[in-house]
Amino acid sequence: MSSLGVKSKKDSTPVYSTIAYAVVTIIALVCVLPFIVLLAGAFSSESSVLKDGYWFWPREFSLEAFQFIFRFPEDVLSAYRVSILITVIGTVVSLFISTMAAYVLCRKELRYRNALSFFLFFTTLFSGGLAPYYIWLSRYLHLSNTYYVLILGPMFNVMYILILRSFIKGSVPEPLIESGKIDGAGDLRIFLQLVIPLSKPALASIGVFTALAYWNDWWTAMMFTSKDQLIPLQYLLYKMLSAINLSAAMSEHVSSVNTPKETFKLAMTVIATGPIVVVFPFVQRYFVSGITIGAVKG
Amino acid sequence: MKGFRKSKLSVLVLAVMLVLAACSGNNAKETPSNSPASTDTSTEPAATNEGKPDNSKEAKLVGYVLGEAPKGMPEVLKSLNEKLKADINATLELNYIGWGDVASKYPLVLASGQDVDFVFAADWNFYISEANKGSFLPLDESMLKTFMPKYYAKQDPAAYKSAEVNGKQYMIPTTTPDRKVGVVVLRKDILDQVGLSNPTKISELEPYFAAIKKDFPDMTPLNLDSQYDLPAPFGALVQEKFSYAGAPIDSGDPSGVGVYTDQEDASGKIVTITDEPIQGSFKYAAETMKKWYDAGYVNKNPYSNKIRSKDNFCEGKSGVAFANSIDVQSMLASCQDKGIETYIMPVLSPTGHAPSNSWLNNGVALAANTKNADRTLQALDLIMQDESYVYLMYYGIEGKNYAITADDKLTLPEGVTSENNSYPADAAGFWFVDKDLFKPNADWTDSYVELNGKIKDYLLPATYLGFTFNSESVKSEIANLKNVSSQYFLPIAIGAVKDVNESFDTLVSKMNAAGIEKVKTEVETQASAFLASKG
Amino acid sequence: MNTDVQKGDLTKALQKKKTWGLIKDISTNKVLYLMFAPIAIYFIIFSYIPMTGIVMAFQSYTVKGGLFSSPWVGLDNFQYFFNSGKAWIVTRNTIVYNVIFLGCYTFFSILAAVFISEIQKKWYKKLSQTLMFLPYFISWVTVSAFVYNFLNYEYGIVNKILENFHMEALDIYSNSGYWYLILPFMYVWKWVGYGSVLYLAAIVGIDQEIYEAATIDGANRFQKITKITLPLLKPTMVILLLLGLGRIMRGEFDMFYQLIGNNGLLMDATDIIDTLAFRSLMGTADFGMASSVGLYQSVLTLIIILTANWLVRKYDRDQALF
Repeated sequence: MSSLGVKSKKDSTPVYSTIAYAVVTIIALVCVLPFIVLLAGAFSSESSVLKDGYWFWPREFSLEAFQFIFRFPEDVLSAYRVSILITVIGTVVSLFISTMAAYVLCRKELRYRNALSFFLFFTTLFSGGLAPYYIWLSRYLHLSNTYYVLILGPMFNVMYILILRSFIKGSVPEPLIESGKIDGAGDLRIFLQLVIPLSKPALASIGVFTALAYWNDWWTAMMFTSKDQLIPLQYLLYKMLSAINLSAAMSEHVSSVNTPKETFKLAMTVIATGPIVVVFPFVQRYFVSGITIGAVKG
Repeated sequence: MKGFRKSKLSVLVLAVMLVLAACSGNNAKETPSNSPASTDTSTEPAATNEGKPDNSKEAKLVGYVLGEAPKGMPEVLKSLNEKLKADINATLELNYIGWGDVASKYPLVLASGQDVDFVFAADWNFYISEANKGSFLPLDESMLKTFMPKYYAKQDPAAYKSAEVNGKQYMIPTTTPDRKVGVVVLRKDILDQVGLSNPTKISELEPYFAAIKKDFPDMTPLNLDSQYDLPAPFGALVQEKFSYAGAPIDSGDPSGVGVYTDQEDASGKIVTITDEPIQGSFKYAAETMKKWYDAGYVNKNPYSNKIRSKDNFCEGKSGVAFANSIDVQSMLASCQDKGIETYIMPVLSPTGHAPSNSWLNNGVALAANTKNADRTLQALDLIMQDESYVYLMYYGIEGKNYAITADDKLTLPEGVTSENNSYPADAAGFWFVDKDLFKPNADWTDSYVELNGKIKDYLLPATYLGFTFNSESVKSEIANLKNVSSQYFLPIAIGAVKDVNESFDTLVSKMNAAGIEKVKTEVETQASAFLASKG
Repeated sequence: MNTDVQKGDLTKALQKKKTWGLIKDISTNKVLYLMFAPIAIYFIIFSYIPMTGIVMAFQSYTVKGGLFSSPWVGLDNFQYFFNSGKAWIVTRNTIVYNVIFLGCYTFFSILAAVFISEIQKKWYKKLSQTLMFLPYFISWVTVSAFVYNFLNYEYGIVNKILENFHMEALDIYSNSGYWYLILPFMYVWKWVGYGSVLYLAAIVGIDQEIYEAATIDGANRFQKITKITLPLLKPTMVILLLLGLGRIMRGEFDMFYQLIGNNGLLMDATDIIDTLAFRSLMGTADFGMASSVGLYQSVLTLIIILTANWLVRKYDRDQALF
């Protein structure tokens, strides 16, 4: 199935190829250069960054920022474990339920599908603010200090559901579903056996976004957890950062000298970027090769 | 996604606010008066028994403090609970609200009616607004007398007065307010080069700046950051003319504008920016800053610079560092390591004084719905005033986190460094304890010890020491003034204006539109009530 | 099946017997509604119930009174915003910037996606796409440090280069003109990788048989882009634009706050609703005032999105958001 996508090779014309390569290369370069500078900064000594600013390679190589982060390695490992756990569980559950809802939203036989879409969309427009949300979750639902809150809090994003809806609409032809129905398949079976395979590129992209949202979510942990064993990686880094930034101002003692501040921020970004470098290549095959509906139909 | 956005915003609020607050503590911030206007909605205090407290039933207390729990906290807490159990039959569970989360989480913890017995409280940390909302339990003298005898014996009664909001006291302020003044740190080598031996005012530093501009191309004489440093040189210049608090009396925000008072004016007149001595000294400061800015002594884009002059002074990027006598310590040490000799110049009023700090800079309050008010107070009495508790909570466990040298100074035990100390001093958030019980540190640099010795003589109780403005009835105006100050005052403060008089007029007209008169009237009402009650 | 009938009667039916209609719809499509149930329950619990907190915008919140019996203060909480004298300027700025952002972002995301899909070498495709994603991870705080390093007057890299060519140094942080370019550029830079993933997924989702058929018909690659890829991307584009409009009153607060901060000289040109509210409320913990501006933004967004959706519906019912 994946080999079918690159058929158009035969008719490649050099001019278009050149333009495509040039445009993509320029955009990619603009995006990657600052990251290289950032990487260099993360591996520099704090004082060389303060003194000479950023550059493309470390002017004074140093691991102090990383050493600072890994001062208490067991904390970091536990945080990694929490982050990976919530990201994997959360993404799988969220993606499945979101896609299911998206499929329902494009079924034409549902009279109120637009009302249902609006029901979802409305939540992105209005919110009661932080206070009622916090009180409701912590006091009434007793979700504080649980894994549930870390997984449920950022679970669904209405935008992604609506994007999935439009993808399904575009990539699963109506007649195919009709014929499935005539063959006696129920909605759930059509969804599992027809819609999911045909929506792989969309699922891959929304899956990446959902996973990133989980991975980067320090906010839920900040609001609802106070137990060390429930702290995800991003919140741990965030806590370290705010501690260095602000405790120095309160401190009457020398204990806080020489903690890296600027390089810490950069090192933090490097660590946070981990998932994209590790996971993205696995997902990418769904973006680089196309889908042929015939392959599923047959 | 939306929740996300909000959260980021509030986190920023806090980050900025805390930096401002924590660093501007030297500007005397004062306390409330009895504003009769708004009615109080707080709950009744938990029943207080007369005579001996009854501790027969075990109490589990829950406290919230700011910061991060140090690594060694579980051990310290265990030891604390053993002591508390033996002394008052209570145990304590401690929660932390991280520095980055205070603005969002602190009000929520109080609003949600969770199990909370006490929280850290301070005038720079929403004390007034939370008291207005009725989040705290009102306290009275008899409660303190009964349950906090040690504290009651030590505390100045004026402190209780200063903690009053709408006529009721909600905070247990520290018995030892911070003793600190703003300082300007200079490089000894460049001072010697230009022949300045003992500068005492920032305006004398012009040759120093000129020499930096000429001979040190990588150094900016005044390399200001966006939060702390930005209004600092302006404030120091104003301070040369009269005893300026460093911030308006209504908001306490050093980057803000509002109404002012001369700290050493016994009559306590409330003045606006168009009155003397404000107008004259502000214009003097603005003209000087403009001269310096035009000469290239000030970095052109301080709004976007996030690195404090204190952090890059030792790297040779800034010719001046702005700090206070407490947080300057770590910087002096790192300059010493690099072999840079420093000169410390305190920022003082024309009479050579600085206003002393309010009691409310550090304190603790009881949550409105605590069920253990009396036991909490007893626990706090021990934690704040009993030497063994104070050392335990502030410095950790002796022999593990701190040691005492032969000459009775504090130091780290053998093999423990400041990097691996699991319970660094200051870090646990108990800043409201009795600091008079502390011994000096063995590692203080000589210049710091010298500065510290002089501070007592600099500090002078200002007329409004103990006065904090309750802005509840003019909160819209205060919000608008905040906004006006960043657009129209900050450019004046760094000297980035074409014409000082013209910009000044614009600022004044914008302030009038924002409702400065209403704020002034409200401040006057509260201030005169305060002075009257002080007698 | 019987879609035609439904189209015509939908509005009428809605008005007439709403509840009855819904129940009937549920009973005829049990499985579908059951499949939707988890999402519905989630949003009722996590969004609709806490949404009642909107009333706080009209209250002076007290701990004792809570959400339901705190004193009502009418529109007092809105005062600071509407009396600031800048309500109109910041509303205009918010909309203008977001429209520009949305336009640039959409254009460059599609451009990147189309050209990535044109690239033959698989490894290059993968690599370039990954690289484009990197800016997503760099927070605005860090970006602002970079931008300052690059553009500041004294030792910014740009001015160092200009100096070498004996040109006059630029004072970028004092001239709002530059920022009309810098801000959209930074926005696109940060989000182009993210956006192109969606468009690429849409391109990849197009049935390959269509392209094969076009090849047989003798279409060249440029024709395939303009005649097949772009038209088939339209639904994705419309939905993403509509969703983008849903955020039009909010905008990228962190970007404005971190890059511009309290810079008074740039403020009239770069102040948006969120930054104004943030500056004004810094240091207060007033729930009411904090939620009032959010409500203003929500109501405006609702009006805008309903209008836009109505226009899209008129033109093509299937592509509307709801």
